[in-house]
Amino acid sequence: MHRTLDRTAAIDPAGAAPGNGETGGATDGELVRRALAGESRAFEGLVRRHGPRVQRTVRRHVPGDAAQDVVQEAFLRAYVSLANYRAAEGALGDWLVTLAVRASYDHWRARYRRREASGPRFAESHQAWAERVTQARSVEAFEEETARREAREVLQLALARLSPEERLVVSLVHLEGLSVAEAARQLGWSEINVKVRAHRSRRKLRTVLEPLLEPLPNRTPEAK
Amino acid sequence: MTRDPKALEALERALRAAYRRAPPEAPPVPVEAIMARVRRSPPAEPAGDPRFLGRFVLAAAVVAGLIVGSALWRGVPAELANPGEAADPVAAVLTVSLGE
Repeated sequence: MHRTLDRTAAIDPAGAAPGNGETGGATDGELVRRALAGESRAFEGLVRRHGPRVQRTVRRHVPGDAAQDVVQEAFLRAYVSLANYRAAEGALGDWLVTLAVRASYDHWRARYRRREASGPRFAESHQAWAERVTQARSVEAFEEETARREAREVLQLALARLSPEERLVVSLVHLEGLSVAEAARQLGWSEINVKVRAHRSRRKLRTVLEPLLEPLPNRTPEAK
Repeated sequence: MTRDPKALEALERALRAAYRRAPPEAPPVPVEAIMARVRRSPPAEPAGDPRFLGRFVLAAAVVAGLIVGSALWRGVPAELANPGEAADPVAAVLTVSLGE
């Protein structure tokens, strides 16, 4: 099979010159064939082409300090299992995103195994932010609050309270807004599994968020 | 504990918006580090066709079924009914199932 792929790449008139590492006008399929034929520069072309998208995906699921490792892991998996990629089943970029999501999932599973996932709880500043954002009277005020540092901190703290499975499914379905079918494809789970977990995970996320909506301690006497 | 569903929904909407904002200061893609790991890893190998394995397992199951079915059809030989008396139980089964 290697020889067949090699020959195909050699006679492909649209293929870029082998060995120069530039993707040129080569399609993903051509680069995949050349990478499978042992041309690592062709794979480097794929990394340069799809790296930004893979990195964006990973950085949505994994903290910045760990993202670089997970991006590397995702591309390494892509290289090792490149022959499993079937062009007929979807674009290469989508396949790489799937690998990136699964590598992110494995990152969280490893962290949970090492018991590194549980972090600090919500602070008063987070409660104050929740109060402001839920009482925002205009779209501008709401947008301004969502851009604050506290918004990302609350998001990370809330997600840290979920299991790796819950975290990923909440991120993909509720936060990113993917369909159940698309999330199932990225996670490698059945659609029913995703649907059930998405429902349970959202319920748990709400339970996690509820303390943020409690009155702030210094205002409790006034409330009484 | 607060049970205001509207406040909770607003909070969820805010977190969704925060999530969808591009993460700040994305560093460049670590192409060199990726390629260094790729070069250290075993070369990409074309995967075996999973359908081949499925067909192989199916064929093995059919052959095993035929052997066992044949043995049952011919009846349990005396050697197997009293394995202690059989000189070679495996040979006895093969003899019965595959014929003399």
